[in-house]
Amino acid sequence: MGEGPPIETEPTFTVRECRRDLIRALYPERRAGAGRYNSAMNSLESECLELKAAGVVDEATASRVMALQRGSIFSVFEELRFILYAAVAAITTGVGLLLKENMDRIGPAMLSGMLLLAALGCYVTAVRRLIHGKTRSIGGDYVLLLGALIASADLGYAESQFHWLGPQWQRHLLILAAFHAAAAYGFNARLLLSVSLACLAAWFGSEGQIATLLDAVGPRSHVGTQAIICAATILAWRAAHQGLRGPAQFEAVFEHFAANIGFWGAMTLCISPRSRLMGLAILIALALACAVKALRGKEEMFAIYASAYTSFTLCCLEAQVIGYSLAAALLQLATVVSGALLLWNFHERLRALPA
Amino acid sequence: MKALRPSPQQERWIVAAARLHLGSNCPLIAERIGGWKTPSVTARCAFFVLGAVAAALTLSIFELLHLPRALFPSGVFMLMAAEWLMLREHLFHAGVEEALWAGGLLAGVLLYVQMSGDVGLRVAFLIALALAVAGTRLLNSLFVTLAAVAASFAIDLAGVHQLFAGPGLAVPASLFCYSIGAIALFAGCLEFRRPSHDQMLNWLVVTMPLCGFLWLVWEHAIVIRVLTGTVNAMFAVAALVIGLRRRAHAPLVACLVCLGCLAYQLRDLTALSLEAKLILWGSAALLLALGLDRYLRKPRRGVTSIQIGEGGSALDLLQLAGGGALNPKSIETGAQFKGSGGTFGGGGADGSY
Repeated sequence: MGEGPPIETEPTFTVRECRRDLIRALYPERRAGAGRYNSAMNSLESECLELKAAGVVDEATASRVMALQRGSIFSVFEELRFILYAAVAAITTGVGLLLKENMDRIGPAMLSGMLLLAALGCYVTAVRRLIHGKTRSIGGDYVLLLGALIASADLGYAESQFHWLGPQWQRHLLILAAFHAAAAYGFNARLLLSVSLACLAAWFGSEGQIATLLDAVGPRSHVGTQAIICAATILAWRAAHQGLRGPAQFEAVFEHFAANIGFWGAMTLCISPRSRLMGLAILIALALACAVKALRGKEEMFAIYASAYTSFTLCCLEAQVIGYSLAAALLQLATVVSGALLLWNFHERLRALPA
Repeated sequence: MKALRPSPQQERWIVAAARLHLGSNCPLIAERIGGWKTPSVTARCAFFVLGAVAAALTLSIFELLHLPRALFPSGVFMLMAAEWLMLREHLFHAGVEEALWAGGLLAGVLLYVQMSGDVGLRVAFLIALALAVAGTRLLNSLFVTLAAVAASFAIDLAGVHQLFAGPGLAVPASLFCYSIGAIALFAGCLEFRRPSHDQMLNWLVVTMPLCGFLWLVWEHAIVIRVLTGTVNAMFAVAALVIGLRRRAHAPLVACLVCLGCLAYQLRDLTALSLEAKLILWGSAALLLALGLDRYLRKPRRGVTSIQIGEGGSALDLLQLAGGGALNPKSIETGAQFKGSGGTFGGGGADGSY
C-alpha cells in the first residue's frame, strides 16, 4: 500500500487519523512508510503496541504516544518556552540596566512613565483575551510575566526616586505582592502567582541566597525566623485559597514555595548557635509534613525536599558541632546514606501506590 | 550469569514505562524490565547529588584514617560500592551508583596527580579517559559529554595555546568540539537499539558547539569572531533542518544555543548600549516566539506549538522558580537624613563634597 496519505495543511489530530496510522503500523513491512518522520531514530512503537494489546494502556494514550514516537505530531512547546524565558530575562535585565545607568540622565517621571506604559501594554493583551473569552497561550503567559516584572521594576524605581513610603520603603514589596496576586487571580496565571510569592518572600527578607545562610551566625540571624513566618503566611494563604475555592492549579505553587522557604528558614536556624534546637525541631516537623504530603499526594518532589534538605542540614550541623574529624565524617556519611535510603524507600512506596 | 546492565530491550521497556507513567507494579512491565530499578529524572538528580556528597565524604574518611595513598583504597571502595548497587540491587540510571563510579575513577586520577605532581596534558587525558569509561559502563550521557569536554582540554594543552599560558589560539580545541557536535548531529540518523545511545548523541549535539564557541569567546580578533559566528550560524541552520526532519528536540535546542552564540558575536554590530541591545534582542526573540506560537497553534505538517500530554512536572517547577527568580531585586534607598551635615553641596560639614 506504500506511503500513508500526506498530512493536511490544517489537520485535526483525531483518533481516526491515529487509528489509520496504527492499522498500517501493525504491518511491519509497511511501517517504515506509514507517515514516519523519524524512522531511523529509536522508537518505542513496538513496546506501546504490546502494552495496548495487553490492555495496560487505553487506545487514546497508546495512539498519542505512538503518534509522538512516529513523529506524526511534534510539539515545539518546550523550545518556545525556552525562547520566551530567555527573551523575558533579556528584556528585564536590559530594563534593570537602563534604570541603573540612566537614573541621573533621564527624568524619573519620564522613565517611570515609560515603564508603566510598557507594563500596561503587556497587561492589555491579556485583558483583551480575557474579555473575548479566549484561552491564553504560553506566549500570552510570558507577555503577562514580562508586564509584571516591568511593573515591579517600575514601582521599585519610582519608590527609590520619590520616596512615597518614606522610611518604610520596603513596603513597596508588599504592595507588589498584593498587586501581582490580584493579577494572578484575575488572569488565572501561575507565573504571576510565583512573582507575587517571590515579592512576599523578599519583603520577609528571604532572598534564599547562600550568603544568607553563611550570615546566619552574624547580625542577620533573624533571617531564619522571618523565613519560617513567611512559609507559614504562604500556607495560611493557601488555606484561605482552598476555603474560597480558588483555582486548583495554584495550590502546588503555594506548597512548593512554602516548602522551600520553610526549609531554608529551618536550615538558617539550625546553623545559628542560638536557635539550633528550635531549628532542628522545625526541620524535623517540615520533613515529616513533606513526607506525608509526598505519600498522600503521590508527589515525589516533596520526598526529595524532605530527604535532601534534612541530610544537608544535618551534615552542616555535624560539621559545626563536632568539627573536622573522623567521627564527624563518619556521622555525615551515615546521614547521607540514610537520606538516600529514605528517599529510595519513598520512591518505591510511591511507585507501589495505585494511580 | 548476572547481567552487568540492562539489555537493550530491557532498557527500551524501562524508558517506555517511564514515558507512560507505569510502575513495576504492572506485571508486564516487571517482567520486561527484568528487575532493574530506575527512579524518575528528578529523583535521579537528587540521588546523584547525595552520591557525590557520599563520595567526597568517603575520600575524607580515608584521608582522616591516615592510610598511605588514601585515594587508592577510597577509589576502590567507591567502585565496589557502585558495582554492588548495580549488580546486587539492580540499580540502573539511579544517580547514586553513577556518582560513586565517577568518584572512584576520579580518585585514581587525583592519586596520579598526587604522586607525579603533574597537572597538565596527562591529567586532562586521564580525566577524559576516566569519564569515558564511566560513561560507557553506566550508559551515562553526562559523563560521555564531560569526557569530550575534557578531551578538548587535553588537545588544547597538547598545542600551543596551553590554556591561555601559551601565545596561540585555542583553535584545535574549538575545532574538535565543533567536529564532535557535527558528527553527533549527523549520526542521529543511525538507528540505535539503546535509548541511552540516542541520549548521548543528544547531549553532544547540544553541548559541544557551545564548548567550541567558548574556547574562542575571549578572542576579539575580527577574523575569529566572524569565523565562530559563521560556524555557529551554519550549525544552527543544519540543526534546525535536521531537528524538524527527524522530529527531534535536541537539534532544535542546539539551534537555539548556536543562535545565542551568534547573537553574542554580533554584539558590536551597532553602537547601542548594552541595555538597549538586551531589550532589542529580547523583544525580537519575544516577537519571534509569539509569532511561531500563533502560527503553529494549528499543526503544520505535524508540527505544533500546543503542549501534547501532561508535560514534565520538573520543567513546570523550573518555570515557576525561574519566574520568581526574575523578580527585580528591590532598590535599597540610603538614609534620607545624615546627622553629620550631609553630602550635598549646602552642607559640607563633613567635608565630603
